[in-house]
Amino acid sequence: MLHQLTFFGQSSSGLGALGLDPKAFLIQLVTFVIVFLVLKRYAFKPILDVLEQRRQTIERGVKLGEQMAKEKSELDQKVSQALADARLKADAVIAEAQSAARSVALEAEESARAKADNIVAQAGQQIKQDSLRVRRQLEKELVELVSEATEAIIEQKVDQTKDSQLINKFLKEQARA
Amino acid sequence: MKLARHQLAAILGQRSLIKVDRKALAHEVAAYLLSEGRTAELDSLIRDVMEYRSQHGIVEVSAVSAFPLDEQAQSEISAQVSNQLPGTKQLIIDQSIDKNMIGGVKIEFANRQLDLSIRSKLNRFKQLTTSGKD
Repeated sequence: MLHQLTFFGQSSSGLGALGLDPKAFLIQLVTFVIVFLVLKRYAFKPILDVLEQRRQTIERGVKLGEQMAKEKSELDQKVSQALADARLKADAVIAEAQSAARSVALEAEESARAKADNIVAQAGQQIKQDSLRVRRQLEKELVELVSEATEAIIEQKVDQTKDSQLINKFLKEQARA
Repeated sequence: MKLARHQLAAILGQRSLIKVDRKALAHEVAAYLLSEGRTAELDSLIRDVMEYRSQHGIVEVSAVSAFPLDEQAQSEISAQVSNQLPGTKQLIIDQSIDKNMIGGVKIEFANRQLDLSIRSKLNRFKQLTTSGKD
């Protein structure tokens, strides 16, 4: 076959017509094959192994990245959910606190109103009692004045004769009683 | 032995009903009360004696008035006492003057009194008009 190729290259037709030396081509081809086999044996495989390892590493990294992205997404969702829940709880707590504050304010208002009413009622009662006491005191003083005036008048009017008449009158009244 | 007051009053009343020297009797009573340490009972004892004597017809009253009592007033008092104590045989009126009474009379018996003075009537008026106002 080599002879045929050599012949084909030396002829004016075939490879020779293209300006190629079949012999040199054949040697180069053999050399190429040998180099290729040597490289395949001693260089390509480690390189491919390294490349495969790197590829696997990259793939793992990519997967890890994807997983992390997925987990991040899930975490983001959880965080968002947690934030939403927290916001809802916070809103509920705020609403409850506002309600409690309104309730406390209402109770305080009611208590203050009740106390005020009580104070007003007590004041009214005190005023009434004071008024009654003053009125009674005035009545008592008036009676004292009337009594003293009567006593003074009687003292001026009663002499021994009048006194004897009074005694007789009192004794007769007593006897009738 | 210590005599009860009513027993002592009965003895003294009984002795006072008969003719005795009243001054000597008073001295005896005073000496007895002093020796027994019972001088605080003198007023009560006198009242008991008066009560004993009134039960035996001899009534002693104290008439307090602002002016001296005239005959008519005294007779009215006697009638009043006789009316209240029908068994009265002898009435002794011990008169005294108290200008603070203004008028009327207060008759004090052994264990009660009849206040017909103007002062008591004024006090009664004040009590009635001011009762329940304190």
